[in-house]
Amino acid sequence: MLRRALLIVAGLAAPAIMAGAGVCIAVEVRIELPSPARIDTTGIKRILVGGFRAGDHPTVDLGREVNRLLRDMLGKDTDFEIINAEPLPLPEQPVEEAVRNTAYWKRLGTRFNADLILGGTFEFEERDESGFVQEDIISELTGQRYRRSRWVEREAFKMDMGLYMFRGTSGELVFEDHFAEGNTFPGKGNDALSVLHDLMERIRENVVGIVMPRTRLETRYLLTE
Amino acid sequence: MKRVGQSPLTCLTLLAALLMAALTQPLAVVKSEASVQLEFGIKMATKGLWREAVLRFEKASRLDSGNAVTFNNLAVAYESLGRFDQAREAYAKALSLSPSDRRIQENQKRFLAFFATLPRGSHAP
Repeated sequence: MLRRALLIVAGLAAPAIMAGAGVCIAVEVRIELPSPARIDTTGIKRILVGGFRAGDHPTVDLGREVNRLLRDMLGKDTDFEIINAEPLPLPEQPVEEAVRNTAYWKRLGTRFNADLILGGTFEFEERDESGFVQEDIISELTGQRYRRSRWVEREAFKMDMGLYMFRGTSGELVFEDHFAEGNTFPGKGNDALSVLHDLMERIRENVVGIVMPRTRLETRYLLTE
Repeated sequence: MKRVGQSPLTCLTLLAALLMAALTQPLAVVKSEASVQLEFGIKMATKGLWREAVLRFEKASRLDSGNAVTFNNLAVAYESLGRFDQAREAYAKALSLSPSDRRIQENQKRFLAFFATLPRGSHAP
């Protein structure tokens, strides 16, 4: 009888224990994350895309192309007025000093009536990444698997943009960051200009997000009991 | 004699049952209400009604402060509303309650990666 009593007690306790040990299931949801602009854009209406110190490239005028792509990005994806001006050279001094040259940036601000000025550095490299790769082959005759080496031609492209932003009224540096991207393509003789556009496109959201609030789509797990 | 002998055992059984019922009943009611809030919050969240979801998850967390699931979901809902400091705290709480849960770990990892990109002073709009 005592055993029976204990069984009854155990029977009553079981649901409580089960509830405590609940098994959960995950549901993946997409959420829009409000991401504020990275700089204070109060009072900014006109933006000047200034000069970029860029290395030489045999087929692409990097400084001009980056200037054009940035103007295009900001013109399409922001509400600011983008000043249509040819790229201007950075002051003849090391970049670290040029970005602290408030007098220069202020002068540009006054000359173009710009509230914000962009400038920076740009590096674009292409490298031959051709080489032997190992691959597994199944023989059509014997059905046996064997490994062989094969020569593959590839080209790797890499860009690195140091982006600086200055307030036109004071010449003060308000933002600096580096944006790097790269990709490898099969074959040789890939069009460098197309690759440059492709790599710049990848950083579009990040660049626009400096001056505009954005929403970012991400996934998270909601859990259910 | 038999009846007299059985009586204490029957009483003991009944007493134990009553005791268990008294102990578990209020807890079960609270748990159940918390679960209702949690489930409703999830429904709202999957419909994109994050404000309502936050209210439900907050209520569920007050009713049952030991449930990692609730705090995880609350963190996700806070994120959706841009209440990032609160999201960070809720993830920390969820992981303190269930440190080995990989999905909460993954959520927190993704959140912290996003959080790191935010400018200072913009975490709680």
